[in-house]
Amino acid sequence: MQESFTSFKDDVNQKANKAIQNFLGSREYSQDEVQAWTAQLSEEIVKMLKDQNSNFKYCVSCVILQKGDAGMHMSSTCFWDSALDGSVAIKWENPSMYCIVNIYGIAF
Amino acid sequence: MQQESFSALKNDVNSRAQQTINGLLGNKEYNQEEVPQWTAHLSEEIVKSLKELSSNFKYCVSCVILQKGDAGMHMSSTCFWDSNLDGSVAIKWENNSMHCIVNIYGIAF
Repeated sequence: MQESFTSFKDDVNQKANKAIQNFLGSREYSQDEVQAWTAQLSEEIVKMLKDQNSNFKYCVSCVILQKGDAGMHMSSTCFWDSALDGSVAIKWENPSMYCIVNIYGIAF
Repeated sequence: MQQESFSALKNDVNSRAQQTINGLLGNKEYNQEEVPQWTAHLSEEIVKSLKELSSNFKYCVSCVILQKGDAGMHMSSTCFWDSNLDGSVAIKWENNSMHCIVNIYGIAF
């Protein structure tokens, strides 16, 4: 029987939160470095997911938003197999920035 | 029969999504109360349009609306998939008061 994404959702949440905390925890938003941070973070999270479960395809997107004078909203809609596939959305912040990570796990 | 690849649909996906965003946001100004409905509506409309284009794929669509103001933003995606069949499209759109970024992931099954 095929495994569903929800069976390891909590694990994914925990590990991704830890990865973000370790990577960004003590940093301050820096215009020159942010691009490298988002790329590195999403790569690291995909590697972690592959190690956890290789029966899924993964799409991970990472947004870093400087704390300032601008509103932001984000929505996701998916067309998939609701019994097997799933997603996790992580919102993290420190004094200078927000980090939002979307993880989609698709069974194949 | 050979399976269809997402890259065959990419141009169509791009133009449909741009059209949908323009249609919904074109003449609007960023409005704190209405924005959550806009993002939800946009991502739903785009998924519907993709299903009509090809039902051989699962789709994940995320939509961000960012007010033009005093804040920098960066976004990256990394995917683990079948590079022959799966694919993604990222659309950046703007008007005078806001940015809209739509990420579309198409996964063959």
